[in-house]
Amino acid sequence: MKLLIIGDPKEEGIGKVVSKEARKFFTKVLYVPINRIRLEVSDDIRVFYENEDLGSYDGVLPMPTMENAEFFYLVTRMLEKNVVYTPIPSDVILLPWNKPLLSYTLRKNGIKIRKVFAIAQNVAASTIMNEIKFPVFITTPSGRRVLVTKEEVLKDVLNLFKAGNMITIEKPIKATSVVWSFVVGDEVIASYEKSEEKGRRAIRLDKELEEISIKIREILKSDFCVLSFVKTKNETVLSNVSFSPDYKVFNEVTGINTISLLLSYLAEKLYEEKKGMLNKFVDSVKGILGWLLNEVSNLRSVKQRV
Amino acid sequence: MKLAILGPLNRGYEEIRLMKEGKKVFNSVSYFPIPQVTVEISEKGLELKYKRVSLKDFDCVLPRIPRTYKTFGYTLLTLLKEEGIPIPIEPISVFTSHNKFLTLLVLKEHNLPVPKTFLALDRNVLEPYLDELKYPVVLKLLYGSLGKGVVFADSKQSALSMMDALERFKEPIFVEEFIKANAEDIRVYIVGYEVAGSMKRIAKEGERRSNIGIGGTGVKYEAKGKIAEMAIKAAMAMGMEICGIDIMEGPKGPVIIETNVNAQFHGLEKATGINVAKKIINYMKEKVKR
Repeated sequence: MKLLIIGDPKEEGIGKVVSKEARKFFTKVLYVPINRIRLEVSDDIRVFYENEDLGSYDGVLPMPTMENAEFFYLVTRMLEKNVVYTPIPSDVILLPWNKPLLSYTLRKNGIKIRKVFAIAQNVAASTIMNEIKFPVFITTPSGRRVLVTKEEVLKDVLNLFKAGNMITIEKPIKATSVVWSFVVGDEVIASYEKSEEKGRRAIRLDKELEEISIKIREILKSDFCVLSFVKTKNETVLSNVSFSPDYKVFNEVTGINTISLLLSYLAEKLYEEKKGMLNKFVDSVKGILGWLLNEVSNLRSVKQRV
Repeated sequence: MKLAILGPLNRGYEEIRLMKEGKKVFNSVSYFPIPQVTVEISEKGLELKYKRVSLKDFDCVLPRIPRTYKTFGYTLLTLLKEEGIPIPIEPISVFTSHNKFLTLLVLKEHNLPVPKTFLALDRNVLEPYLDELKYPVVLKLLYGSLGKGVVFADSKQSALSMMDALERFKEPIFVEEFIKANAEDIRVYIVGYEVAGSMKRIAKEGERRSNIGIGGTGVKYEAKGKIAEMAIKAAMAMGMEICGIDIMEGPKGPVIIETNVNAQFHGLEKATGINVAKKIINYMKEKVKR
């Protein structure tokens, strides 16, 4: 089975580490930085790396970044059209960077979310000024989070951005700690907690948080995801979702080889998908053969009667 | 019945005409400038507001979302649709139609004829293939509009220098087959998956781009048969009940070159005398009744 790994050129190091591990599970592995890909719409829809048609791979593991998110979306969508399996469907690949849609989707499915405002231009700020209490966290269009303590500062910060770029505003939560959870299929394969007092340490999620993590993965319709939760004295609320985990930190803190576990899951899933496709093919061939034999015997009986 | 028009901060010809026609048919018509709309999501639910007015209180929303607001516009429309407010386009089409490559991809997925097109983030990726192309070729900004950001390269050398410029501005390199069509194209305006009007757009002398905004002229033309069918299929593929479809009649037959989720109709009304705004408003009324 052939696996394609697509990463961001700035994250090439981790891309290569993942590729090396992937060779244990797949017969052929190719790592391609996203900026080396050529997309073509002609008689067919095709994705190339140099002269190699990437549609010939069985599966693709995209490692999307915000900077090239839309290009990752295009590549994944085009590979899906070429029946290349992806653990992150193209229609959700952009969701982690769209906080309003992500929050809405999760809330609709019963997940507790943080209050979030979104605006597209500084002129909208006055509308929400009465409704927010400072300090607030703003997430810039490039994904950076900035703590803003005063109304004047917020206006100044918003003036820095071009009109049209979506900016989200959230109230900061006084967290006692932040919990990270790495979900693959129906299992949380690794988790850790970070607090000021104890730093980072591996933990086992309680049953409730484990169930919430798996539910979020199901809502996202991806095969895996990494979640961060903010813990306060009274509650635990989802903070972020990512499809590009920091494998290094997970592995170092928990001692679990998350890359290996993810890849073995993907290999198994791909094998099952292939088997399913083969079975369908065999069934359809059987169906055609059965129909042909039936027709032949009908013809024979007609001939005999004649 | 209450209609909300969601559009740019400064109203253009189209928004003014839609407001005017809207007031004749709807009990109330309100204009929501996208830059002043705020989204609020909390445990209590969703709020989409302009000042103190909620978009959720309207019977339908007619979007006129410019390219600059594509992500925010897509987000707003998705939320509106989720809340059950009738809108005449699939929210994703705001995102799709403003991305020229994605548009061609969606059309191709639906087996519609589009020009041969390449896209890459790095010029070096496309450079080895420039020898295989037939010149001239068209280089476009992925998110350009109104004909802006469209250039023609008559040789490999000129294509390379244009690609340098695109890369310098961190723009993806979008190269498209040139369709020889006498510097003219057909604009078909779709309302409710039917042809509401159409015109030929002819480029001014010395120009290959026929967009009205850059000096092209609109002349009467009735889209029928294959062209009309192709335009309707393109609108359906994109999920846009109201839109503009641009078609070029090339040597191998008609080819769809662009779709416009926020299509202007000033030139079309002028060229044909058709009241496009009225057709859009009447369609919106029918949509609410359904």
